[in-house]
Amino acid sequence: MRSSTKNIIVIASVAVLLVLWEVAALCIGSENVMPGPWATLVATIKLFGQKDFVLVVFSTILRGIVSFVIAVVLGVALGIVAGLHEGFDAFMKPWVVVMRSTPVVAFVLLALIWFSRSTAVFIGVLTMFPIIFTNIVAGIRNVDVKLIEMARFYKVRRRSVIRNVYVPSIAPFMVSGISSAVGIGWRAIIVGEVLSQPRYGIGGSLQLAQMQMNVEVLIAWTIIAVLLGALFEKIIRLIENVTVKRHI
Amino acid sequence: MKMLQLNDIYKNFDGNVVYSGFSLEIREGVTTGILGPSGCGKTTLLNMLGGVLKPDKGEISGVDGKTFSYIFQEPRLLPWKTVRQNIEFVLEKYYAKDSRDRIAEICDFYLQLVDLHGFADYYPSQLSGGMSQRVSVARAFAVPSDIILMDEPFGGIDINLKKNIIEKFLKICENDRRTVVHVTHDVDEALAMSDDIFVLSKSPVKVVFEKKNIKKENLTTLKDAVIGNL
Ligand SMILES: Nc1ncnc2c1ncn2[C@@H]1O[C@H](COP(=O)(O)OP(=O)(O)O)[C@@H](O)[C@H]1O
Ligand SMILES: [Mg+2]
Repeated sequence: MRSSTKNIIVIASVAVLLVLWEVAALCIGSENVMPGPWATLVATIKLFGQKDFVLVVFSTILRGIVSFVIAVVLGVALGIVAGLHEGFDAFMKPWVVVMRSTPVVAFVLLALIWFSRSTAVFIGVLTMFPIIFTNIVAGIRNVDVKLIEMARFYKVRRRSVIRNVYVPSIAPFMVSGISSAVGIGWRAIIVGEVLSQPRYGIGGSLQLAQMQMNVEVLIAWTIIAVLLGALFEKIIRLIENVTVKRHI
Repeated sequence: MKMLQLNDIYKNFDGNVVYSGFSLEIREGVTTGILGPSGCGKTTLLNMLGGVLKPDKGEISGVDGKTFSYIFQEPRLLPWKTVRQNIEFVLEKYYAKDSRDRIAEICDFYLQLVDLHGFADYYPSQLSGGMSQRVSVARAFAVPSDIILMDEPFGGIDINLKKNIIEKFLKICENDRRTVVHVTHDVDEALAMSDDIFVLSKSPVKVVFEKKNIKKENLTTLKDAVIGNL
């Protein structure tokens, strides 16, 4: 399908969503329960002017970055070991399964008791680590032993083998792990903030708006969170295009 | 005449005895064809010659300090690197950092020999199977190796392409004599490319037939003799 046609469809889809939203708002007929798209847009723009806006947003982004870095460092380091040693992979498996299948909310409630303030970071690590770990392990398993053997037979230096064979084989797995981890981690961190109520944070602001029955603001913050999530995804796509060459 | 010698070699894999008191002499500077039933231990033999696999017992002489190249059954090219980068990958360690021009020259020279000049910047996915295998031939010759080990290198290639690659190979050998050990299950291929041939038995491996300087022999009778022993 031509990309111009696709763009038209996307615009139409958004328009339909806005119309449905407006219709629903009109039917309900109460700004306090269901504000229309226009009122929400106004509320969103107002948020930018609010005095703590930057602080709130950057607090959440900072939690995201800190937990992302921790998750990547742990995920890559342990993933490499597990990818190379089946025994360690078997050891890690139950941990990873638990982390992946436990509902985020259960972790949040426990973390509130254990960590209180840094709950959101903990939740971010807990959701992102297993995704990155699993992808790194899969990436290492995916390395073609025949290429490794070729390099060994030609007595290519170890450093060159790592840089030219291992890294390019693992890179696509790494990138896809990171991109799904960021998508899931970002939402989990906001859930963590809703319950742990740090001084500044998007999750906390959502919670506050909810308690004040301020639906406009609640949706406005949601929109901000969605836009930021989309922005991160875009950035990762860009990095992906630069680093992972597509000739495979 | 200098020789690579395998002396009284023993090798088993978890009790599966592949070599037991096996000896073989391979002349340097010529192409030796090795035939034998599948699974008898031909790949194992090449791996021991190349020093990537140690025999349980016995010694291999004539290989110390020598450099090896390999041509595998599959091209084994790095898919994310161009033809040129693939050749550079195995050449790097032989040349100083500042000799990029020299490396490029060598790449071009050997790509020319296998009729792939102009394809240096292609990725393997853009080449046919036959072209990729020719790259792996160029790679093997580009390395300043003393010995080239080939493990059923043209098995998966259709008959016309195979002829073409064999011609290229023989042409390179005319000017660039190296010791070549060529494992194959194709009798015609072995007879076309080799100076000496050996036919091996099932494991534990014995030499069941050998002939030196086969270029001087009557090919039809020789072929019958080889097939009779295979
Ligand atoms: N790494 C290995 N581990 C266990 N058995 C092996 C290994 N390599 C080869 N073998 C066994 O040794 C025998 C000879 O194998 P190979 O040298 O690959 O035979 P060929 O190349 O003649 O087909 C086979 O029975 C094979 O199963
Ligand atoms: Mg074999």
